[in-house]
Amino acid sequence: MNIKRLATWGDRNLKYLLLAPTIVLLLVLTVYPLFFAIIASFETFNIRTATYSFGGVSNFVNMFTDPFFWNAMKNTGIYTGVAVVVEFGLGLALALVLNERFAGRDVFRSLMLAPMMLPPIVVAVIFKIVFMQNFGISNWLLGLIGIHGMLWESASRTALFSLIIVDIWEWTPFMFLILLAGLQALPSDPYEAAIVDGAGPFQVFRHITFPLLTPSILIALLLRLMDTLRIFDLIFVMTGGGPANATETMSLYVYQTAFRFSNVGSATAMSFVLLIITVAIGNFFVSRLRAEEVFTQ
Amino acid sequence: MPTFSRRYPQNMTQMVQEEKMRRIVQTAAVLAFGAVITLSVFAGGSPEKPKSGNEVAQTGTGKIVLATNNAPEGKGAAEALKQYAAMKGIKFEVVEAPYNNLYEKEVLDLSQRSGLYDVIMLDDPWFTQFAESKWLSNLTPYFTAINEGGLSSDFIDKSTAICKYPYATGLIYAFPAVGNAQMFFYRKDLFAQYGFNSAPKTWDDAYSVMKKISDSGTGVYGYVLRGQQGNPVVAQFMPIFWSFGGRMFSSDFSKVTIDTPQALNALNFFIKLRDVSPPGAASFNAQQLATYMLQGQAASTINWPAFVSTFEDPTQSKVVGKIGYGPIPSAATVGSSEIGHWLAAIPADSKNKQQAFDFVHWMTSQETQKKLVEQFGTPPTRKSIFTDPSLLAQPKYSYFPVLMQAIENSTPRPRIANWNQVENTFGIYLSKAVAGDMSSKDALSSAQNDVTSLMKKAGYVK
Repeated sequence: MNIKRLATWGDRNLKYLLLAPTIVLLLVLTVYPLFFAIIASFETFNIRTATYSFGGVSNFVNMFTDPFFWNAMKNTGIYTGVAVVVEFGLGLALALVLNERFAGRDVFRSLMLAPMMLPPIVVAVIFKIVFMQNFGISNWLLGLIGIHGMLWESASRTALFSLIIVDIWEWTPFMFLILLAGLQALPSDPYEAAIVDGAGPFQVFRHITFPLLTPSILIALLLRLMDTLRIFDLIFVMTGGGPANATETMSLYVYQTAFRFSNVGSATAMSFVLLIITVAIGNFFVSRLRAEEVFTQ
Repeated sequence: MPTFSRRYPQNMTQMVQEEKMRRIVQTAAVLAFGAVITLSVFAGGSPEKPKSGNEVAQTGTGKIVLATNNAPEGKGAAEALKQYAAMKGIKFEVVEAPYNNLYEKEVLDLSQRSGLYDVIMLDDPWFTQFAESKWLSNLTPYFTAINEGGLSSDFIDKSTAICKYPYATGLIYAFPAVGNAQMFFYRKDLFAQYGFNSAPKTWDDAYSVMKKISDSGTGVYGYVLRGQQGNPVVAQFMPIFWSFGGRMFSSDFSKVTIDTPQALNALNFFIKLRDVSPPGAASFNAQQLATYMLQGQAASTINWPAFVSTFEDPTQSKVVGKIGYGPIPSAATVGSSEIGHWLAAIPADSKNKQQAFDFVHWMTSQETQKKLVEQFGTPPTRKSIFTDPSLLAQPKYSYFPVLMQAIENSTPRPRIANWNQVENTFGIYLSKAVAGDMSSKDALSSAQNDVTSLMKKAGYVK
């Protein structure tokens, strides 16, 4: 092959040559692990010989009959549901308030973002101290209004909600940030028209702000849902899944299965279930976003 | 209109191109799948080849790599390696990790047969899994080569037994490095107020004092219970379980015996201990136990000897010289503590086994072990050091006779390969009982069911 032919060949296939590095990276970092995981999820592990063998769907069958799996699903569901809904409500309210002009607004806006900037491990350690039964500030504050001896994350009945409170504290600012950005980008003419037509503040919110803000709301909800579904660090540090398994989430159970029980097959099978749930939720939101014409060309 | 053109090709060229594209994607998918299969076979292939741990490797890389935990028990091994390497003029590397990560790192290295480490420090409950999976080197040929029959008889028998697979009777796969076993820690001054001038012998005696201390209105709790789900609560329950005559399994592991009257007595007593403990015990780990004891807010606990030096350190402790150490009290049978030694082993795939063996042999020798005791306060495993007069003369080693007795009377955790998962499951139900979510009876019968199914899966129970 002479140089000229090589050059024409290069010319004709330039697009593939330019794409090649990306495709190779994608194959190595995404496609290979994915296929590997699919294979692993059908393998059963024998801990006594440290060998894997093909086990068909036994990992999935065992998983669906495992009470700890359902407990982890339930905890993940409650955690995600409650945390995201409350964060959304608070975030929206704060965004609406801080969208108005008043003295000290900028300082307050900056302060609002502080919790989100902290590493989750630091947040977990701070709240372990805040929640301490005998000298934590939370019980001291409750003591002022006559409530004593809350056990927070140390009691199985309140543990999950204590963790949700921490999540809300840390991630409401994120909701607030996205929604505030959305509010600031809204056009002003519909508002002027509405005021001319004599609409009240609630009507303005219900019929103008909320519909126009929907794309931002969808993006904020999507990101938070995907994040909370795989919550790990906060719980790992604060409770390790206890007491009485009251705070064990899917990620934690997958981690335990893979690294404590050395059963990678079973752990990947569980990860796939979590992946399918996350993708389903993600697709729902993305299709809504399409309907909102965010992605139109 | 890009959207339009995407759905309806406008001319033939475009259709041909799309067809080409589709073929490329298909080929790529097939290739990727093929690559996965090839790589998996390659990656999974090596464990198939049986590697005998019997042959004594003659050549080495001349560098010893040690995996150890970054707590005092593990730091001793790291320091020993540093000194040994300087003495022999060889290279060395220390990989330190926290307890849980250490297990993950070691399992990864051993199961992938990567031979990254030459010496690993392991907690004894991991030993059965590692030995049964043939991940460790059989050390017997190395002992034979230096005309020793095996581990020195100076090691306490119980310490030697956990280094063998099968337990006590099999081949030697590890050295006992750090002699941990639980002890009963109690406040001598407070127990003396209620007429006990030495450690209480029975749980009944101990509980009567704990109850009185808790009810005395001084704000001091009679006991502090380690109730965190998983390993902590199980480690706390086992000595009580054994004292009340309970056993988790029949001796050949073919039967699960968690749901028994002895176990029920033990768990009911465990709940009584919770009631004389500070609130929130369901989430306490060893560190909270130490804090309550150091602050003088709890009168007794069961804990590991690693905390002794903290209790006797005036910069951290309000109770210096007031803590007594005793064996685990008795109930239906003689009290027995859980043994929790740190072992040193050589991976089957180490590339430097002879040097690794020489080092560990030196590290656990009488002379080095004594140095490590003096420097790090880590408990020894040799009788000669437990009874060394120059050490016993110092008050900080006053717990040695008690600890030696505790090790001699100790019970190992069940020697099963799937102990981590069994312990986790048992721990969840114990934690539910401690948290008051389940009655003792229900917790035990659920634990019996779930542990039985785990034992069936692992092939112990038919």
